[in-house]
Amino acid sequence: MAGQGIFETLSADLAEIETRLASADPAERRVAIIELAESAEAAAQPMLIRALADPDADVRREAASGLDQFDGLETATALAGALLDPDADVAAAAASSLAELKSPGAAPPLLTLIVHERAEVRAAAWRGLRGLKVKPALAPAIEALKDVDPRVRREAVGVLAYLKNEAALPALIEAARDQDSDVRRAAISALAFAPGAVAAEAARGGLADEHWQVREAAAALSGKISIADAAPSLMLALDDAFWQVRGKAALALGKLASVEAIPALGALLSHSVSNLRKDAATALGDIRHPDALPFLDAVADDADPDVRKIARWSAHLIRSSAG
Amino acid sequence: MANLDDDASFFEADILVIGGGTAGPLAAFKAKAANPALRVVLLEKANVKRSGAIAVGMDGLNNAVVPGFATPEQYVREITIANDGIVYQQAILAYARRSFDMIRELDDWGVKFQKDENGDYDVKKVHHLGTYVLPMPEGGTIKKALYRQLRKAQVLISNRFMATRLLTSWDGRAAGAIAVNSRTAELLVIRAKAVILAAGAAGRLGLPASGYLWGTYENPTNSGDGYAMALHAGAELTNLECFQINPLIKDYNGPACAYVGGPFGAYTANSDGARFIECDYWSGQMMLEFYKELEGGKGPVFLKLDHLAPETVTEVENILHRVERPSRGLFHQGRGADYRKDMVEMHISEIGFCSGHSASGVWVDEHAQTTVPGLYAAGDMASVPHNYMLGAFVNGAIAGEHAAQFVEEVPLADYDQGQVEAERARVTAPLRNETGLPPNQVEYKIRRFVNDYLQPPKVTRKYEIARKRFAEIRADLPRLAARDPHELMRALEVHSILDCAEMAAAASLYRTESRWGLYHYRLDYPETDDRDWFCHVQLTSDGKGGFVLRKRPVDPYVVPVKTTERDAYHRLRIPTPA
Amino acid sequence: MSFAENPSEFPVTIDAEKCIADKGCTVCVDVCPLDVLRINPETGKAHMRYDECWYCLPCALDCPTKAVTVAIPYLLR
Repeated sequence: MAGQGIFETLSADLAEIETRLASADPAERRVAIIELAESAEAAAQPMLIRALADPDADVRREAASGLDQFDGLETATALAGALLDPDADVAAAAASSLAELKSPGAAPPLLTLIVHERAEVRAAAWRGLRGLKVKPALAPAIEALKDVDPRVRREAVGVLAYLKNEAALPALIEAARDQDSDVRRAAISALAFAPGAVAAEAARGGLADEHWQVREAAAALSGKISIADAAPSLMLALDDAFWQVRGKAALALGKLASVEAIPALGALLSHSVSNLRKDAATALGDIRHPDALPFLDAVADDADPDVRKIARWSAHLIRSSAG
Repeated sequence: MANLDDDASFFEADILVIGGGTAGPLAAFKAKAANPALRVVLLEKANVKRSGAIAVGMDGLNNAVVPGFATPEQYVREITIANDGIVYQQAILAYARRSFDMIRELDDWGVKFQKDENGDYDVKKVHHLGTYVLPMPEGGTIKKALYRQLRKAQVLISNRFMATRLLTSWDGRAAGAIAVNSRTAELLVIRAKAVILAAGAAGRLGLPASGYLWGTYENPTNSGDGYAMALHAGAELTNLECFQINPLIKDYNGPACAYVGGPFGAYTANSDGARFIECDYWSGQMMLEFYKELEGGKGPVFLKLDHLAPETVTEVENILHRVERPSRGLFHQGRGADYRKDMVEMHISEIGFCSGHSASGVWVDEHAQTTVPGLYAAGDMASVPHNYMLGAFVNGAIAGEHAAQFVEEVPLADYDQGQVEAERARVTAPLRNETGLPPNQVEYKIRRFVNDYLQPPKVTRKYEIARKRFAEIRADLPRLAARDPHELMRALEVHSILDCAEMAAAASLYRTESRWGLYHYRLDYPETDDRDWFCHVQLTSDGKGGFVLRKRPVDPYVVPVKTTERDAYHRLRIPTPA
Repeated sequence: MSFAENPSEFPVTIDAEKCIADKGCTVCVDVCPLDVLRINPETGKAHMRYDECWYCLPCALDCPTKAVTVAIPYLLR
């Protein structure tokens, strides 16, 4: 039966690729590595690992990128080694492949790198550990929230957030007051898994943050956990300088069904930014209280179609729940 | 150049999948997963590594049915309403039930979906009705993940072969296909017990406003070959009058940002910078509102992000300029446009067929079966409405699994060798013509007429003129000339484009009402007529170059939609008095 | 064959210094959905052969040596 030349070969000729990997020309070796990675064959893994020792940095980078499809201890060990490559591009490729690891068995080599002297290595090791969700990472990640480098602290927050372990809560609450705004923002978002009162406490702090994106994250957290304790600080956030924060605070108050917020939310319905009017109208519907009806009816013909649609919908929800 | 009189290469497979873009790879993979002993061929006109609508990835899911955010039944209701009720709900429900499992499987393969800080799917609420948007800011490498799975599953991948016609048996069963290589003009006959068509949208039907043939919304390789093959194999096509028209950046083929920018607060605005779209779902109704604003006194239409914080705009750009349409930043740069301070002008796309965004296509049931036994269809060319990328994956999977069962029970179908000979003559004709018409000119002419006469709003007289012009061009087709196999591929695509243009005209004339907003807006039948036209319009070939059209009643709903529900939805869209 | 040539500025350009097609690389040619790139047998380098660019960028993104540059076709600029 015909078929020769019509189909891509089902299995790459690894022996032939091996020959080209021995070429004196680094470009030829590089092309061979690209084909090797594309073959998606299990046998390509050790060959790619060997190529991490190639004298040519481009070959090593290609090999590090191709290893993103493999998992497990051997891959992790090899990539952890490549993370220390003198060539920055090779190290970057290794870092991004490490982030693809999924099996808990890949953790040991990463756990040795979290104390490496270079911050970018520590950060990449934590980033790789995040998806593995292994218990041995817990205590060191808590410790790493005190790292001198904000990139490391940010990745450590990610590891703890994925682990969702209550033992990390005090440290995450502490991280919500980190000096770096990215770390604070991540820590506040991470606390969505915390018991309501704990998260509400963190949200309260976050709503007073100097950085608007942290305040926005804190408002969003309050909406996610729906804890009544959060209401007073959210009410204050309805006056935030950033409409983005006000919008998230409004939505959160809607989730909390905060009847006290109705007048303040009603006032937002005349704000010039239509996105904010939209959020306020959504919140008023979520609260499901007839006191909101005069506010909503007043914007049933708002100039912005999204605002009036939601105002009408919210009024409909309130009337049908009362009826 | 190949010797045109060579015997065609010949191969026998269990399942032949035509199209290696989105649905096709899933069909092939799932067929192999169901039974690794099957010989499954995946035929692709380009190269599976980067082909189809998602060649450069996808920036988000628009129809993710994730537990806790939406239920399959809720999704079915909303798609039913968005398509004015003309849907085959069983197929939508079959998709919706597998939507979440497919997301998780793709996730395992390394396809990246946005997750919140705790690693849970970060589903976004864009509309007040349902919550179906799952962003994919790192969705640029989907094809790489798919390709690896295909290699692992030992699918027989054949690149640079364009399928041109299906083979059928005396009793109407699918028997295989004929294909031609775009580099060598080598003919290939593949016999198979089941054929799965996944050849994508008909994206080269209308001409973009720029006049540039290749500036289409769809990947231009999606030239409608699947619709043409299904037609000539005797399959039924449905609702082809429900065109695809999309909002775009003016002169650039990047879509609007509703689903990407929406969660960040960006929106489509008129020249006053104000929202104007009443409709809550991406649908023909939304496009009609877009069109009216574009043509009205408050036009043109703009994409507005200049009210967002600079940090937010950077975040949006990092998605829009990297995934799905990565040359978008380059385009804006060329014109000195900056989202931070400028609204960016928008326009509407050329027309096409694509169930990804509308409701047309080769008719399929909930198992992705067409009306031809042994022939399946999935993805943008199959009739499951508002399919998008995830629907293509799921329906591809459904097709592959069902076909794997089907081929257990049947032998290879016999076909008449005359079909091969007739197709060989048609396929090789442009190479035999020493002089003649260049494919790009014939294509330009068809597509310009599509714009002149078929672009909605639809007018009966214009459509009649179009059919005359198309018939004249059909008479010109034998004069198409190709200098090499690449041009031959283009010449054969011209055949598909003309088939689609004629189908679009015939189906549109048949449905004497307006429906689906701009998609089927007829100026001489401006009202929706539920009494006579609450039905699908089915189109088949009459075997003599013409079509047979008939009504197909809408099947009883499996997920009832209460009239109050529909009314509540419509009430929201009542425009405010000016 | 009697086709008149139509002049066009090619949107895809390839830096021959960086291109390693002569070492066996076919990445850009493989990933182009429109199949408009070819390798010149004389120079061993990739080039644009057909003026049918969708400016979708896999050729530039996947090129291992970043030798490919894609410009938006003039008609759209």
